Amino acid sequence: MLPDHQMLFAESGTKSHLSRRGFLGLGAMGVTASLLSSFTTAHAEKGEKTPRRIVCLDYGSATTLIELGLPPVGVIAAQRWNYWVREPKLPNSVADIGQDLVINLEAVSRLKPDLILMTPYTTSHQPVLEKIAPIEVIPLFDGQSQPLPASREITKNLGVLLGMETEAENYLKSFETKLVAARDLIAKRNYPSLTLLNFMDARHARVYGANSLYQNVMDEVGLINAWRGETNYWGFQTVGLERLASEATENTELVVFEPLMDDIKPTLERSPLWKYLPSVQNDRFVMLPPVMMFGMLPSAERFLSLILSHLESHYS
Amino acid sequence: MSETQRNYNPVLFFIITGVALLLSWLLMGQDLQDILTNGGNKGEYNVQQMLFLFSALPRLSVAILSGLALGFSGAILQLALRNPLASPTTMGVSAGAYLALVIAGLFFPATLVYGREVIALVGAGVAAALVFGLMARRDFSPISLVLTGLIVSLYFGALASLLVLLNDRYLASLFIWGAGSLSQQSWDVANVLWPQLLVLFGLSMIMVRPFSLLVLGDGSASSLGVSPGMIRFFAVSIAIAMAAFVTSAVGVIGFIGLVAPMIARLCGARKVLSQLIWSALIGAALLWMTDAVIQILAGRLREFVPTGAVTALLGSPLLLFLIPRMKFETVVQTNEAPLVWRQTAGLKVLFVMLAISICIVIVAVTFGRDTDFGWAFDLSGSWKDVYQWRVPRVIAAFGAGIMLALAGMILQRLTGNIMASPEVLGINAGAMMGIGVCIYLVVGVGPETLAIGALLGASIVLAALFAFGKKSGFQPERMILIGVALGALIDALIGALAATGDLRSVHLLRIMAGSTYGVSLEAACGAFLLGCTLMLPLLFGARALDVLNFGEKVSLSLGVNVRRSRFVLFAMASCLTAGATVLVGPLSFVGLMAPHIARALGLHQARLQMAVACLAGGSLMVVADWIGRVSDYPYEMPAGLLSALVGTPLLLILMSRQNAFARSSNA
Repeated sequence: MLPDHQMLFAESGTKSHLSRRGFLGLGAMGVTASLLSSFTTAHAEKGEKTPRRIVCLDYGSATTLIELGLPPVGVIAAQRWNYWVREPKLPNSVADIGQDLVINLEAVSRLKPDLILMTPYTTSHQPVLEKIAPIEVIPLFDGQSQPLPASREITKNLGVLLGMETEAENYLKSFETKLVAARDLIAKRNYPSLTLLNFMDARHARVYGANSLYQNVMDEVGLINAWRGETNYWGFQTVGLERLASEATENTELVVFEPLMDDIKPTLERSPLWKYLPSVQNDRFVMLPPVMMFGMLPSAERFLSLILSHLESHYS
Repeated sequence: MSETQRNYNPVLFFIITGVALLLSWLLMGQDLQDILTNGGNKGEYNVQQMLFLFSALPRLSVAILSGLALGFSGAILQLALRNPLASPTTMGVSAGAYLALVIAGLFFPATLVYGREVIALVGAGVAAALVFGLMARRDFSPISLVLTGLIVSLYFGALASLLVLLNDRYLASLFIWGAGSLSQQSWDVANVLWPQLLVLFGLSMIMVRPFSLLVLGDGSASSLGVSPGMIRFFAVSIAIAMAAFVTSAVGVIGFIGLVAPMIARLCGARKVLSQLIWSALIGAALLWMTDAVIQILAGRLREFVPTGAVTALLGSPLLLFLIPRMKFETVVQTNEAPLVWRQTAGLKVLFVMLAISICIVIVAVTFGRDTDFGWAFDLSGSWKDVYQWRVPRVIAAFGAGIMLALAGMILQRLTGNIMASPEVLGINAGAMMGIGVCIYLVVGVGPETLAIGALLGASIVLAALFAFGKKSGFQPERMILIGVALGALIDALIGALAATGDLRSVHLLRIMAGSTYGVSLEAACGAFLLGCTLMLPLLFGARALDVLNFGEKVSLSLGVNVRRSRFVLFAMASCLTAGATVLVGPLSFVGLMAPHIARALGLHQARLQMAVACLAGGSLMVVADWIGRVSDYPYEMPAGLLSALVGTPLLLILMSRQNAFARSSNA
């Protein structure tokens, strides 16, 4: 057992270096992805017990684990789950391990995890967390891969890693089925283009575009994103409302995702820049419940179903 | 010169206004022309036109309105309090309003819709009452008023940021640091602001005559049949309300209220009315120009760079520049007058303190929260699950406490000023600057690089302070004012950097908040050993510390080489401060508190006082760290900020008592 662990640490060590570089946007493509599969193989070859107590440092992997039927034992900011993710429901058994950049190491340690999942965003924790359990850095929002294909790949690899290939495959299949159904439906309809927003405060919003999970889903099902502007590698751009105005077109449907601070709505209702936006004037504007924008397949699914049920009820 | 207002020469005002006009023309001249030629084609959503009408123009108006109000408010305060350094910023009024808004926004968001102004007014009022209350015993001497105000400002700022940290909104929290943004989406803010200001301007016009008499001298004002106290109260209330309304509209805009009246006087405004009016106009022009410069320089980031942070960035150095040049009527404490310190306690105190420290350390390591978030004693807890995480933090906290206590001891002895400490003198702020420069300029920084940066920053500030202090005889209040101004500068700098959303600013914020989170056992032990190692020569050389206190001549006659001792001690203080800042951030105030605890226990002789101060400082830091770990488990609060919450009130209390102390020791 000991040598095996040492090997894991050594491997994670090099990986940490690479993914940190990747985080800065300098790393080579796909290194983390291939390491995940090599880890999986090594894991299987050694006959190591498959991980059952998993701690997640991001909401995306936690949602995936819940869908696969193996909820994590701990997740960051569980308190805020309903605020940001809402669906799938977080089982009561899942412990809160603190903020994503200030994880409570004691809490993680007490959970006695046998696997810790993190994204490149939290790799600063890697050297410390390695003392607790083996670590997997899932290549989600690593600045190299697109989130939807990456999520498929990660889901598949997690299935192998956790000895749940069948569950993973079934889940992937049901996901693809929903995607195909959506594509067929959309092909028949004449839906407007969409602008997808989260409000930061009454003056600023994040608009989602290239590199975002939303964009990937829209591309695959044939929806059109009205926002063509530049985005960062998380797939959003923070803009003042007036920038939103300058990109607005007649036929754009504005989709605002919660969470929304209490004081934003009344401010918006009085702002001419917002009120007179063509989309808002023509009542082409909707507020939808939260979807984890940096999530994986479950969030993609939730996004799609929320959008479609809205579009269906207004434009079919 | 003392003649009349006819000497007024508004050339500076016209220069500022001219520059502002020019820049604004560059920003929106094209849009204006388009609209005038097209006559505004209605019915269509013309993006440029909408932006011009509902974003650019309101922003310009709000900048001018806020500038007017802040300049006016500053002028009233400076006249009413006869204090050239008074202003909404330097009196903590704006910060009070802002903190109230943050609290309301986080805990009672619904109230914001109806009463932002009311909330801001309450906050500003509380801050002002606090400052005046603390000042009541000190006859409102100009410099100590500003000092108290600035410290209240920083304290409220720290509280606000602690609240924000605790209620992190998933990468969103940085935007709260961006308060002071003039960016507008409608005429709403301007429409709310101008009637409020109009009423206040009207009210102040009613009282201009009695106010003028008051400024000339309390005697002539009472001949009007109105008590000078009433007039002063009325005037100050108007000034506070103005600042509160501006803060409620756009957040904290620093230093306009300080600078505008200064420029007005510089231009030769003498009469009360002309000072008020010109201060308002100059304030408006200043803020207008600053905002236009920011919009041009920031380009696409113009939405996010908060104008308030930039004015503070320009304002703090100005304050630093002004302090040495101002004449203050304060009790002069000469370096030669030794404070008489009589030892009233002995070794017993040391042993009691040692026992207490050991208990605290044991509790901090063993007592915590368990898996179900209940309370638990972990006497039998395993190294792997529990102690592994707690021990390095406790050691690091204790080490940082020792270092700060030592630095505080050294500085208090060297300057002969019981209020000196690395935090108060701004040496921590210098270390933080060094760290900031490292993070932004060096790629891939480790703790060692940060420590070197911190050391350089601390040394530079300390050298500058010493050079300045020698000239002014280490006058306590001036030294502290410089430190506080430096602290404000750092605050503004970090606020501006954070507003850009750069990932490095997250790192900087975390160091600023001062958490022992994630410290390795090696680094913790290193810090602890550094503290202990530097303590040894101090313990053995304690006589020099005692002797230095009696001034240069006495020291020389007693065989202590003052220059060399001073140099060595300053170098040590720099090292200690730098090490502690890397660990627990610049805010903690433990360096101030620890020597005072030792003194309050009756220890005045350097050696014993130092030993007890080290134990006290270490224990304080450990307690702060422990509270931060367990109170909101599994979430954490940074130890540095927490200890500042205890340390700042202590500093304020000390200041309000210091006059009495100085008098009794001089007598």
